[in-house]
Amino acid sequence: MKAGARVLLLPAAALMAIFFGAFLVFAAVGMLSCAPGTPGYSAPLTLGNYLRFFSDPAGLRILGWTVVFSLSLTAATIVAGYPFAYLIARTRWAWVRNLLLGVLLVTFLCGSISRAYGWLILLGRRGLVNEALMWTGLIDHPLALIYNVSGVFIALLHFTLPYFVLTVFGAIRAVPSQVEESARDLGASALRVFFQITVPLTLPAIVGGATLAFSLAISAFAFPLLLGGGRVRLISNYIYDQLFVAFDLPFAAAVSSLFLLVALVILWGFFAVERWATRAVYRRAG
Amino acid sequence: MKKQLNASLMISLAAALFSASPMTQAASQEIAVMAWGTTWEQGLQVVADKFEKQTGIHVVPVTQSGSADGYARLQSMQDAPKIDIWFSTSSLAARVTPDKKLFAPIPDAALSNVSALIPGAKAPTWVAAYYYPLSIIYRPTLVTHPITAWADLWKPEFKDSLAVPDVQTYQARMLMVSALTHGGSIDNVDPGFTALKQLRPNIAMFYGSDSDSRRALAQGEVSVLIGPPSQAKPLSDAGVDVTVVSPKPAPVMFDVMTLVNTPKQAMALKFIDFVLSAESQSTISTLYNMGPVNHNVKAAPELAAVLPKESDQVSFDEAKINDHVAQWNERFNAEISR
Repeated sequence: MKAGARVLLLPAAALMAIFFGAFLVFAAVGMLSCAPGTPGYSAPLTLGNYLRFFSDPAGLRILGWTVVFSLSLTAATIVAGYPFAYLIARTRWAWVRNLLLGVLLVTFLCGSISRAYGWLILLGRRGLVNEALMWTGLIDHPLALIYNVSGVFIALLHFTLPYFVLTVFGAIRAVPSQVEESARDLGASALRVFFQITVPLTLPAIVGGATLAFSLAISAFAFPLLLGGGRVRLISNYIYDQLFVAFDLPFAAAVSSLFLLVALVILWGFFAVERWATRAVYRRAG
Repeated sequence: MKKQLNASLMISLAAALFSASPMTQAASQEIAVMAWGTTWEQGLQVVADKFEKQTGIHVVPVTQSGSADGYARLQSMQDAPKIDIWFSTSSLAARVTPDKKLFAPIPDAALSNVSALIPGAKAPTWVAAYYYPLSIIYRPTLVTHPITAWADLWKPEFKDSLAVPDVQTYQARMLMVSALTHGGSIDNVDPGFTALKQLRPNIAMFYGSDSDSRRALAQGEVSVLIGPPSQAKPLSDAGVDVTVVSPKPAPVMFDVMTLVNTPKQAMALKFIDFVLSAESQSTISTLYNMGPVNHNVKAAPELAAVLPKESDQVSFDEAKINDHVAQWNERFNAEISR
């Protein structure tokens, strides 16, 4: 690398150093101890908080549950988002594409809090969904769609969907329609073309979109707080409790650091899958 | 020489203009008060406006979502706090105000209304702004029978109908009520946890935010809300049918004012004293539905009707609450709200 190129890298390197420096400070705070009876903290440095988390079944359960919940949500985002992205990319009518893209953009423009309150009104016991189901006679009593996992899941799916769809939409558009047409001309069914041509060619984008969806899901805080009714507790809510109920900043910092490590390892797994998918696609293409 | 003279003249002129500017004067004649959004909206803003009219000291309202959130902000600015008075629960105040760097003592001599305070409303580092019981607020049109006792909440007819504060909200008082009504105490909370487990089918939501729980009651998501009478006030003002009862045992709590260690302590103390005055206490009681801490003030009739009798009131050792609340919170999350 030329010296000029190295200089150009400096701003980005400085920015990354600041971000990771902040993380390291947090990791170091995790080695302090909470001063008994006060919200303060003090030396000496120990690994006690890190070890305490690994010996706390409740904390480990919440971390495990957060990972499972986030992976499930990522899978749901792929299942719901890919057909949506495909429809936008492949529709013959420009107005349908523009309409659907417009809907996605409007969703982006709404803040997460207003979206959460929107879902509270829609999914509530006296909300539109329950009223419609009762009116059609499909149910006798309102369904419990909020203040539980289902409400949080639906709202978070709505939150992650635009990120995934917009990531994958471009990749689907980039697949030449002639390739799909050729396969159809050679006798492949529409379903076979979809699964053996379109999906493999867009696999790197699917993994990229899924990575985004997973990152958003695993760090969710407001949706579980507002729609979980106190019953859905992800790791971010657990960390919040350590800060604002137990006033144990060092322990909260230690849990945050461990949580970040776990998230980074899983994200590294996503990137590994993405690399493998990209290589596989190129191999197939010769 | 002429240039130097001109420069120094300009600097002096600028300094004079700056020192005399209305902005500088305004900044030196203002204090920042951090309290909950609901507190500001329902009563404190009116008090602050009157204070400004009388003293010329402008009160800048700063909102906090919870007192723990407010304290976190104070901690982050502890070298140069920009808040002069911080409203908190008495539990949290008892826990954090021994920090002499961040908080200043509130001398009795600085408060002309100190002799009018009800017992327990003043500590060396905080003074209560109002008191409130933990009550039951319900929609009479959504329940089949009127609620008269805590035990009613455990009836099957309230399945999926209750909004209950979580342990950190109202300083674990729901757990205390559950313990006291089932043979336990602050030193033996096991019966309380067992009873809350039995109550689970009736609980639609555990809340940490007053506004969320009020919205749920207003929309009919829940028909019963456990909280202070002040929660009912905006609903009844908006025409929602609500009834408040404060059965025995009725935990009574204070929300308190603390004096942050800033150079504006003299002005801040004036405001604290103003809040304790009969006029302000009457305003808070009428508009915010909170009990007055000035014994010369009678609670507003609407509030007086729902305040618990003195013999029904219970209070708890805040130090014990502080010592155990984190542990209770984890147990609550593991056993009750999961």
